[in-house]
Amino acid sequence: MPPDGLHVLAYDDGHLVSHAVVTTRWLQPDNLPLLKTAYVDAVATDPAYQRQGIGSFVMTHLASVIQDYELACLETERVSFYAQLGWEEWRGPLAGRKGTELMPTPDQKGIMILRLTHTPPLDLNGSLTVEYDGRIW
Amino acid sequence: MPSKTRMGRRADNPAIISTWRAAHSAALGVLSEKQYGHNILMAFTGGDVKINIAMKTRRTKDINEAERSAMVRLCTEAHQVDFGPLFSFCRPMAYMYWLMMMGT
Repeated sequence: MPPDGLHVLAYDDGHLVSHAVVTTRWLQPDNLPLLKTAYVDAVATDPAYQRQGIGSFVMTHLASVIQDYELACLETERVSFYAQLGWEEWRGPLAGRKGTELMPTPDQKGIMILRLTHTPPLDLNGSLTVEYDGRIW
Repeated sequence: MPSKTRMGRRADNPAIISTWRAAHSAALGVLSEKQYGHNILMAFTGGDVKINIAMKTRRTKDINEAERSAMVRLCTEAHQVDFGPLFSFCRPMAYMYWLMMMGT
């Protein structure tokens, strides 16, 4: 885990009930330079605390502390949950890049991005490439 | 009858939801004035429900062993249950990658 990962933690009386972590990755949309991207992983809420808005709060809190990034990104199978928080599903071709090797991921679904203060205009139908860092998406 | 979680909290009470949203907005106001590492205490009530949520932001390098264990336990428990309609998780592969990177 990169040491600069940023964890958002929600506690109820000292008990950890929800969590998400952001690490820095580099993504490149069509016709744009590499963008410093807040990549979100390990989103989880204690089952006993689900359906009470705590996960939404963690994600909203997270969005407020990553505004120095140029983009935010995550992978999910629950697109509708993130969509209600302002995240948008990428519709165009996806790929990873390791050195000069481009690795298309045509079967990849559920890649979502969040536009931040410094995000340039994006075409969600264009291509999106992520720099390989031990994984692709 | 409103459904209850196994912690006994009503999950579908509109009063809770509206109070939560108000508290949420207030907490974000607090957040804008503070920096990483500060706690934000959220309190919201509705009917017989009162939950205090303390929010923290921590860098990975500052996470201690107890916090790391709690995070791993939370993620493990959360991913072993059915996904509720109002919450979402990263896909298992991403989750496993994260656990691996945490040294678990």
